[in-house]
Amino acid sequence: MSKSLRTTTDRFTSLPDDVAHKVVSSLSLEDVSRLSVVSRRCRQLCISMPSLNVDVRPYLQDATKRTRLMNYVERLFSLRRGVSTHRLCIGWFLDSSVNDKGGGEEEYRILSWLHNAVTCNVKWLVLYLRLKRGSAFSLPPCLIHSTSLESLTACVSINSILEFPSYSTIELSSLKTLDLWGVRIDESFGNWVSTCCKFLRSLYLKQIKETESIAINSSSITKLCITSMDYKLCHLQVSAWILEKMSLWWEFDSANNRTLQLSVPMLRMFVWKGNILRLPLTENLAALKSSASILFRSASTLTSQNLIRFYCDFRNLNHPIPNLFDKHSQVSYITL
Amino acid sequence: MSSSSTTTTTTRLLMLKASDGVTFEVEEAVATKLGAINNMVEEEGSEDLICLPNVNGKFLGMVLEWCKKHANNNTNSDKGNDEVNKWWDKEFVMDLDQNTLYHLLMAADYLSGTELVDLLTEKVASMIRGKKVEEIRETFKIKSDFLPGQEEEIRKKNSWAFE
Repeated sequence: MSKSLRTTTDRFTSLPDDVAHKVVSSLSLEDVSRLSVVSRRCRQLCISMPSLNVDVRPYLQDATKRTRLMNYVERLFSLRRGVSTHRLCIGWFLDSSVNDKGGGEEEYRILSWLHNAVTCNVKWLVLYLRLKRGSAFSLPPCLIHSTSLESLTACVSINSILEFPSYSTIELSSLKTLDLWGVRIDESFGNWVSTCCKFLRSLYLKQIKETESIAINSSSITKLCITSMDYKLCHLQVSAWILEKMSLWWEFDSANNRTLQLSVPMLRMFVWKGNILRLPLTENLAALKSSASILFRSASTLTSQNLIRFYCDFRNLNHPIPNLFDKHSQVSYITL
Repeated sequence: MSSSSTTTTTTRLLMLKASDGVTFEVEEAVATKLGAINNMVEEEGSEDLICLPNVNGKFLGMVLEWCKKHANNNTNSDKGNDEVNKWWDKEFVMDLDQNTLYHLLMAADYLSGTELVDLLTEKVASMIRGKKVEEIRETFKIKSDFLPGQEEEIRKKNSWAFE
């Protein structure tokens, strides 16, 4: 509270740092840049804000401004030397870069911001990128080496690929939430999760690309969401001792050679969307605990000749069982 | 403006005492929307009188008014509620003068009313957004305290934001 006693008596700069930082963090960098010229205290607030928001959207048509925004971000990072960055949010459209060939330079700059953030002990990182059709963006390995990062959300536009770095570290990660869209992972991903991510609670792998096989062994995750729509995923194996909620959207053209293995003794909610023909499930799901519930988001995919039985106990459900099974489907459920 | 408890009979009532001695009788469910009070209730358990020496009665009253609206609107859970809350929040901050906004924000921060702090900091941000340097200075009555020549230099470095 002592800060309110300083000589400046105005109603903005006399706010305590954490409150004033909240204000500054919700401004665009252009506003921040202007605010930093107002007074010394304002400038200090702008330089020391713990959360940075880089958003290219207002400058999509303006190449000069876009470059100057990038320069400003770099200037901020250099002025902030030593200030920890709790949160960095980057929204960038690499597909529409007008001021260089192919967005290579902009991509390089984004990578350097990510490095910078990791050096400044970033805890929250949100990355939204629009890429050219068919192109890929590789997340830098420093992200999985970071020991401070607790939440990572990375998303690329449809028709492009987010490449997750290969596992090459024994550094223990602090990640609690990992949310990846359009991601391509290699087989080392499962190793990394089981070896390094001891605190990971929520794992979201959405729109997985060009990945044939996923194996997840974790003793910490409680929420898992996997969606695969490119027909490439063949094998999915999940062993998670305390997993409570899982949702799976798995599309494929032919069920040949597809396997799904679940070892999830504490699972309480399983939401399923997509093609589930001929998957060897009966056995696995029979292990569900008594309060488990299985929900289908699209019952139409269940009209198969294959009888799949779901063993689960509906006694503990508060809601009446929704009419999920259409009359042509041979899917049945029984109460244990 | 102590709250009446005519509608509900089952919830526990808390007495909140402001720095100027003004007291407010509030339902527990309303007061615990404030993190600081929630902690006190959990820690001290049976104590029904809570003294808040850092908050003036006028602003405590306003904070509690906000809490009451939000606690009420949370109980009946239909989809229109978000809209109602948003509309009400807009009304709440619309005509706040700077002095009230400042003290309210300090009170909300002290009481750990996170959502209210978010609402009020957003209001402050809206007073800065899109404005020129001189306009910001005028809005908040801030005096430039840069050394001679320093402001021009900083202005030059931030020139991208002035076009």
